[in-house]
Amino acid sequence: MPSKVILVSCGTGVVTAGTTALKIRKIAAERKWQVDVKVVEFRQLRQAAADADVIVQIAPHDNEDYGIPRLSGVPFLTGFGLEKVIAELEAILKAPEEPPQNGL
Amino acid sequence: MPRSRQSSTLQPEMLRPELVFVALQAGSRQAALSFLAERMLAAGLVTPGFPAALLEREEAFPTGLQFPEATLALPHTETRYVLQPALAAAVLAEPVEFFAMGAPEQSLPVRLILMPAVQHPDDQIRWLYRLMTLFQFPGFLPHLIQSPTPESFIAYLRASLNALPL
Repeated sequence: MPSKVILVSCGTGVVTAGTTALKIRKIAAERKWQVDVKVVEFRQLRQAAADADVIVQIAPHDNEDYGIPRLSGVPFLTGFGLEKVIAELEAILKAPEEPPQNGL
Repeated sequence: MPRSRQSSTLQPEMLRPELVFVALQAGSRQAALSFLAERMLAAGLVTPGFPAALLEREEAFPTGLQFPEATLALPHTETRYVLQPALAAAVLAEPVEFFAMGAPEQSLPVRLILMPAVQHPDDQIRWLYRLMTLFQFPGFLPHLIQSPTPESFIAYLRASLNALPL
């Protein structure tokens, strides 16, 4: 089964996105998720979203729809609401693949 | 020793007493951030563009974080402004207003500022991650905020990091 791709983004892609990505990888290992977790800077988000399944954002920089779900990553940093966001993320990762939109 | 193994722990030169301030007087977050950024510049750790970039980044992507026992701010900017990795820190005499990470309309009163200057994210991520897990430990933030001197602040931070399981 191919891995699902999780994008973690923030303003600089360094401090908060990096530590959040590491936290998600640890959770993924515990829960045996098949995932690839990538840190992206917000400028690269639209392009990266084309090949990803979910965005975990520390700070939304826009309200655009990139075609995949977006979750707040702040709970991974503070611990508040962490169980809830893990459950939401797991539900997205376990959802069956969407059929291609253009019927190819 | 390979570089990545070296910098995965908090090296002594990253946390120096001259970059740590307790009871700092600052009338605003901009004043506090400028003060810390200028100290980093004076120590040759960042480029001249760092202070302005730091303030701009804080306005665009606020870094206030609220924990049960304290609030803190984690201002940082792009790696291209950093010449050497370091951590500056301040405990303010009076709280100043920051806005919350991910919720920019939410105002938070902040007395503790931790300012990482990251040069190589892949290297520094390990201790940054460990630092951030400490924020959730009961008693850690209040103890850090009550540090009477920069040396005791650094010693407590370092001991707490070392006490975490690897």
